Amino acid sequence: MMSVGLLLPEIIVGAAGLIVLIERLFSKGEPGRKDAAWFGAAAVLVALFATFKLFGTNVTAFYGSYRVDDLAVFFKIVALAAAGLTLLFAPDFLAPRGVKTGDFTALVLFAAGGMMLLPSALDFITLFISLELISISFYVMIAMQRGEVRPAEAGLKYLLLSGMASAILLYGMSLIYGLTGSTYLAAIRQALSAGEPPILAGIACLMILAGLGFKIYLVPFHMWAPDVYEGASSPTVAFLASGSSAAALAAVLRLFGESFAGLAGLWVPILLIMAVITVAVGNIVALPQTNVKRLLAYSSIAHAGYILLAIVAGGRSGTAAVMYYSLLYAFSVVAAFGVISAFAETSGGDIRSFAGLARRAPFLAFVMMVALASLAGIPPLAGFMAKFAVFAAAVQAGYIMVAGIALLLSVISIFYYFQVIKVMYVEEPAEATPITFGLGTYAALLLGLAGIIMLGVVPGPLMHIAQVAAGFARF
Amino acid sequence: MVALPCYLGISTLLFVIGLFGALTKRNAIVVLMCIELMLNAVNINLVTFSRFIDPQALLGQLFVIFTIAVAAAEVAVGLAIIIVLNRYRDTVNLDDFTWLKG
Repeated sequence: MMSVGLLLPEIIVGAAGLIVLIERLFSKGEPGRKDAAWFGAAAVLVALFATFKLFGTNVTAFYGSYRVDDLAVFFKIVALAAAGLTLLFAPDFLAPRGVKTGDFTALVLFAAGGMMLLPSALDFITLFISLELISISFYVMIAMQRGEVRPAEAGLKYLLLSGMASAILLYGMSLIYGLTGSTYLAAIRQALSAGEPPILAGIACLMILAGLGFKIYLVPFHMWAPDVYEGASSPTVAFLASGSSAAALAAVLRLFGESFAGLAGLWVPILLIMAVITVAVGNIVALPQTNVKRLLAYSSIAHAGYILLAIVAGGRSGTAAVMYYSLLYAFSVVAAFGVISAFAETSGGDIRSFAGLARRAPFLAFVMMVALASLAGIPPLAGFMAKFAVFAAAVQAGYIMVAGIALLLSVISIFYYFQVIKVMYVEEPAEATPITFGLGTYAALLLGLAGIIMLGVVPGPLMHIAQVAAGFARF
Repeated sequence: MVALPCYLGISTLLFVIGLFGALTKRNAIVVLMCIELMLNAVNINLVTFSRFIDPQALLGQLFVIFTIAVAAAEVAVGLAIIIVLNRYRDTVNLDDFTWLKG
């Protein structure tokens, strides 16, 4: 059964999630236990190996509704890396706060399953189900934290806005179905590229862009990000920022790069303008932030803008830049939120709680500095190569002006990242007690650090993989 | 037989009512209901197109089953979160949640 073999990584992740849930049902679930998360991380590791074996497969299965190609495999690896690192440091944060680690682990695994299915989805039904699998898992993850009202409020906000976005997305999909008579992306591409597409197809295309734009922080659908980042627990945000938008970006690549290619005259200029606005809003609003979690939310928005530039640039180098950027961004943001979740004072994210961190916990401060420098795009870290790839793709596609504006705005971003670094290294700590943290956090931060530095110093192999994978983007 | 535009008209109307309500209402449960209206507009659309355009494959009707199931799951989680909030704040009004600005 070749087709089922294609789903092996997803089956492993989903089965592990179910096992964790069933175990929770029969055990008392003492709050201090962390073994569920270790089990989840091990399952992710196994799934990672299964995913690596799928490189070079490039087949379409299940009557054309599912495709495993290098592009999808690459995004599956991003999702697994994000889930694995999150599960390593999450128990250190959740166990002392009375959240049952098993519940969180199961939700992370289910969401990771959705993130792995989404890049492979080749029809609207699969795409919608994968997207909702991610969303519904995140509603619960964001809202759950006993004894605190802020996470629940953030969860409700995310749920209501995400629900609206899904409804708009679905309405767009239903219109496309009505116009083309199919929910399969390949058939839709054929129908839309034959002759002049009707005006309604354009409206439907924009509705789908709005629905997915919510997930990828597209301004003006970004309003949820700062509040959710501030309200939700740090492990949840780490996973949300690194995994959820990457998976949605893969769907955008498939839908807009391929299915809506016939409508490119409509969505390319709109997305280009929105990408520039997204970069501008993200970077400029981040400047006055005094809360590191909110600051990182706006930084997420800015980075979404860079990635959208690469999507607009399109072609092989644009697609490769999107993939490369997603992976490196995942490493940087998971490392940053790993540090934030490592000590209790910063769970609110106030910048003053970072004062003198270098003296209280030199390792944490160093990881945070590297992660922020990578997000700022300082060479030789991974973030620099990623930004370089995006701007190169944009210039190659002829958007020199736009690339210039984005570059200028990214120079501004260095200022707010270094403000945090300055607070950590220069200011006096309010109290001098050293900070201790668990082994899982240590492992996750080391892995994140290794990813950021390795991929920045030796970008060649990964860039090559992304380039090859981008060549398989057509289905 | 009722013509295609009638169904689509009803669906569009339902969707616009839902969207308007979701954006203007301040009661969390009413907003949730408005999102349901939008999703039901989608369902009408899908079933209509399935009947008129794609009577053999019935992809639209298949899609509707999934949308209904997912919408039910979403509402279940949504109501659970609203109950939790109601316990803390004794209200379901979105304006009372200080964090729901913007």
